[in-house]
Amino acid sequence: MSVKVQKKPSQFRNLFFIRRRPVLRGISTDWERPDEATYQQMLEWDGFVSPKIWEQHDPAKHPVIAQDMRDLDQHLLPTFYQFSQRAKYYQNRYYLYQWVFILGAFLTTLFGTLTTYVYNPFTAAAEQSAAAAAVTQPDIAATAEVGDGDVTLEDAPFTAQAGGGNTWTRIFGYLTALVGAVTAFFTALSNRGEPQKRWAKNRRLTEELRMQYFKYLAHLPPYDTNERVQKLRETVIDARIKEQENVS
Amino acid sequence: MSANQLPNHLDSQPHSPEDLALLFNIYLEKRLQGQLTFYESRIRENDLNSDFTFTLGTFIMTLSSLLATISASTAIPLLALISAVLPALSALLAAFRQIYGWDRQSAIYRDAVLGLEKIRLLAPDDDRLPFSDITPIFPRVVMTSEAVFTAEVNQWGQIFTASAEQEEAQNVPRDPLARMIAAANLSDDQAAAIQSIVTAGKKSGMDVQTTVNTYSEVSVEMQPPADAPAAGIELTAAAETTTILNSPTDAPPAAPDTDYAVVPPQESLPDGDMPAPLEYGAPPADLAAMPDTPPAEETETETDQELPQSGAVG
Repeated sequence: MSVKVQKKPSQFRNLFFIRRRPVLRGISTDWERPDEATYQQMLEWDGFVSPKIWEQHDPAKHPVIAQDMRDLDQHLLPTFYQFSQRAKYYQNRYYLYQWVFILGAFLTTLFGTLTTYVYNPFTAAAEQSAAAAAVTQPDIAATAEVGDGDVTLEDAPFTAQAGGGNTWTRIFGYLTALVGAVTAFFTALSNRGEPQKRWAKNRRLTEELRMQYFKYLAHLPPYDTNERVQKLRETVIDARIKEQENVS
Repeated sequence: MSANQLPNHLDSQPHSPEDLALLFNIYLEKRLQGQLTFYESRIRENDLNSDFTFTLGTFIMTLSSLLATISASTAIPLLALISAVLPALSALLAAFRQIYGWDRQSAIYRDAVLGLEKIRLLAPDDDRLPFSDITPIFPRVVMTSEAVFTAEVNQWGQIFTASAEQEEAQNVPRDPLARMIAAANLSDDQAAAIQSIVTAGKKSGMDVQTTVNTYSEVSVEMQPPADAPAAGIELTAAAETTTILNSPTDAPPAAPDTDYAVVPPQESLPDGDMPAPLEYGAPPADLAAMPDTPPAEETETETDQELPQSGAVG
């Protein structure tokens, strides 16, 4: 009997530039409660207890749990999803800026290298001579434009004809300037709003609320009293206050 | 039963054994197993990306070196261009490794997985679960699990505050001997003894005696807490500074042997009032002219002038 070797499934989709690449738009700052079916799926996906559990258990036998789930659904979960949504938003913004910086640095290097590569001093000198001669002696200018024969295709692949090297130099120079401008624009944007800090804060608060969710279900401190709903509401309010602290 | 009576009635009602059994299963399935699945998935993804970028970056750098060598001998401009661009591509991958921090995240998630595996030991075996009383077990499982999650979240947050790592790097003493002593986890007495021996090699025997004596005096005066790990090191540093002040004023004072000799209390200098760091071995200008040994507090104040530029101030 042969044993079939189990092949490792392709992980290509897990590469960061496919799975974790930021998007320019499409992520909202605010969370809106979706339709009930989608909401139940979200609860299941996020590891919460959805009302689907009552398909296997009788809610009449677990009135306390059913009541706690309603409390959590009313007071905690909306804030949880609000924070989670904001965390996703700021995470995306942070990575978007970082990607722009990294790619900007790479493209600046690339275009700078290409600018140096296509720059041909002989062609540049010929063009300068032609420009100077055009002012004084138009006949000589026509001769200088075709070059003096020193420039060959092997020496400068981008310079198929005299003057081409400087054209490419200008193009790459413009591209370098464009990349620099875009990077500077995003740098200015990133300095406002502190996306990394807000991402970390919202994610931390989100996970804190997730902990409170299970503590509340288990009636663990501080929810081991009869006023646990009030405690829960205070916890949520405290989290909202924390979220607003030091926000510029 | 009125609408107001129902919540009050349920609020005061404890969990029944059936409730606890259901909650226990919910917690194990939704929280513990859910988080474990999440961690393991992220570990796989992070490892994949870390391996991918590292391997590709290494390959690119190797290729760049190869092309540079070839272009040097064949004078093909295009090869020189490619060999110049490839390191930038490798740096691009390294930058992504830096911002995503896959290795650090994986390490954190692995710690959390191991912690959760240990917590699972608190729960009875599946076959024995129906016969076990989970009333005392359930709260312990929840509390310890949530502690693990809290630790994971806290560590995760520290990834973004790279300054912590930077500070740690900056606080490493520059002097190799000091680094060795710091890395050896010696007791305060052992570290002081080594410092005395080192000082003996640089100064006269009288200076050594002064150092030891001064150390005793300072230690009595300051009374560091017994559980303060770096207290002894700081005291040794203070003693050395005092030794310098005991030297004849016409001879240049020796530099402190350790960089942690200059670790100050953080409140010692106001913001924006940081003096420029002195040259290593150079005497402070106002100390060189000071004939007498100042009180211990003044000595500490003077040593503050060589604060490292890490997060100690501001």
